[in-house]
Amino acid sequence: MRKLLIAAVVSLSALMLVAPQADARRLGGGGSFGKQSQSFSRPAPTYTQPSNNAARPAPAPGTAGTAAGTAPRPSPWRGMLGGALLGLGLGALLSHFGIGGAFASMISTVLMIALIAFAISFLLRMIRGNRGGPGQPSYANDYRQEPMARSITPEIGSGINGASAGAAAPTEALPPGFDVDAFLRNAKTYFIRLQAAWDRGDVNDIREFTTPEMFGELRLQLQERGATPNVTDVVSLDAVFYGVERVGGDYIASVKFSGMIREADHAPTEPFTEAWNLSKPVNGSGGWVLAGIQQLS
Amino acid sequence: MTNSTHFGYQTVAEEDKVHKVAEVFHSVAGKYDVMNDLMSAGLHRLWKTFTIAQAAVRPGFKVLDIAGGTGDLAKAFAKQAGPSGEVWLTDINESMLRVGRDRLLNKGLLTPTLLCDAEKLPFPDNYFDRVSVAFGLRNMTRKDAALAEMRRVLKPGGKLLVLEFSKVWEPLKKPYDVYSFSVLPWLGKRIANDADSYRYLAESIRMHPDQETLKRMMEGAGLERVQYFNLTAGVAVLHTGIKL
Repeated sequence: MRKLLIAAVVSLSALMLVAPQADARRLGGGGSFGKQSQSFSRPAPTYTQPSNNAARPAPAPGTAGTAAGTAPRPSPWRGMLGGALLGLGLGALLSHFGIGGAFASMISTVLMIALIAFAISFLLRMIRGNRGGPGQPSYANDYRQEPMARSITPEIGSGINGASAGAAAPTEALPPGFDVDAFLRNAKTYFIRLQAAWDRGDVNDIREFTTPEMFGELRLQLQERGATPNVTDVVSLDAVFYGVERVGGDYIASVKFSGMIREADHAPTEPFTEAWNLSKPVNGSGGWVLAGIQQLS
Repeated sequence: MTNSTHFGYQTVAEEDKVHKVAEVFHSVAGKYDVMNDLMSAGLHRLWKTFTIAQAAVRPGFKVLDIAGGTGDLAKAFAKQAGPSGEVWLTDINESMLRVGRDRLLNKGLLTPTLLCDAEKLPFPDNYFDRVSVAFGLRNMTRKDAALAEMRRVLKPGGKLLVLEFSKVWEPLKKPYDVYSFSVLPWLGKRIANDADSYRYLAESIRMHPDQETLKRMMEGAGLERVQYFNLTAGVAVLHTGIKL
């Protein structure tokens, strides 16, 4: 009798050990995959609405404008000092490795010339940027003064306002008719809807709102999950727009979601932050679809 | 030729009332919730909680929230009705609806949101399990027509809930009058910089039918088992009626 009891207890505890951990997670399981964007390495840009939307009554007044005004301006000395230090450091490094004499002086001459050229071009840009006048939104200047900015940095707003000074750097405008508020609202809608589709395992809904590559990944994850029920309860949701890049024939728009989420029934709500990259063909042959999920460290 | 109706204590042409009410709510939409909390000392939350409890929405219910404004009721209903339910947030005022829609979205709730006139509801007959209108009936021009429409879209057995300011208990009438005609417009001026809208609020409350009159109106619209609950000594009253 006692043996039987022990056997029962042992087998029961074994069962409990084996019992699959119901690892319910949100769409994508909290991982990074699909298209990733560099947009999140910069602070969120602020946008002014195109003027034809000025008549809209609702959006809280002043948020875009004041934020743009208070955006920190990078110090003009940062780039120059950085360059000088880099030159000194390189010189020291070269002499450390025993490369001295004529070769080192040649390199330092080259560096010096580069530094001077850089300073001149910087001054030119600053003068040109200031000519934009007070109407120029400050963030546009910020981008232009950032010497290390990648060439695909979107100069958002300049295309829409039509008042851009037309800097030499290739600019990236928002797609025509792009309304940031409406885009964010739709992005939130996508987020909530896709979580619901993910819970239901609704492959058709997921396919409609994702790129084929993304859909492939998600379907694999769905298959791994099998028939385990999944509950994702979005308790609160906030979205910040991080800009549009043009990659190949697609626009990639980056949105950072944050808020509280419950990833299992009766689980406590937990804060989350996750970036979604949505893509849309430039030629207008389709709408915005989810191209990648990116976890921000 | 033109029928006249009341806009607060003023008498205006019927077709003008819609525009005037719309102006009031366009003007207050952004600060609506702050002002509600301030003016009712948070009591409007209790009144709404009571209404939500009386509605007893169950999973799968179809619910219509008329004049849903900033979505307080719809938010609660959407959670109770769950993924199989259907909760419509409607309002006649675009500014209010915009605030409500964004608020629901920020709470992770996707509900259909619709701009529509309660006197001409764009829904089929016998569609909803619950229809609610919180602090909205007062602003409707033809209340009888609106109530009849609400009854029409209800399923047999469905319940209509009307939460509205009403006639306060007699001994409290004096302080309530002082409060609503002096303090309210002053608060409105200080907080929302809009004394007129809040004067309209106070006046429209006085012009709204009292408990018994509204009960008769609901019965006149064809609702059965109409009852009302005085909340906070009749400052607000919840009327419920069932379509049989």
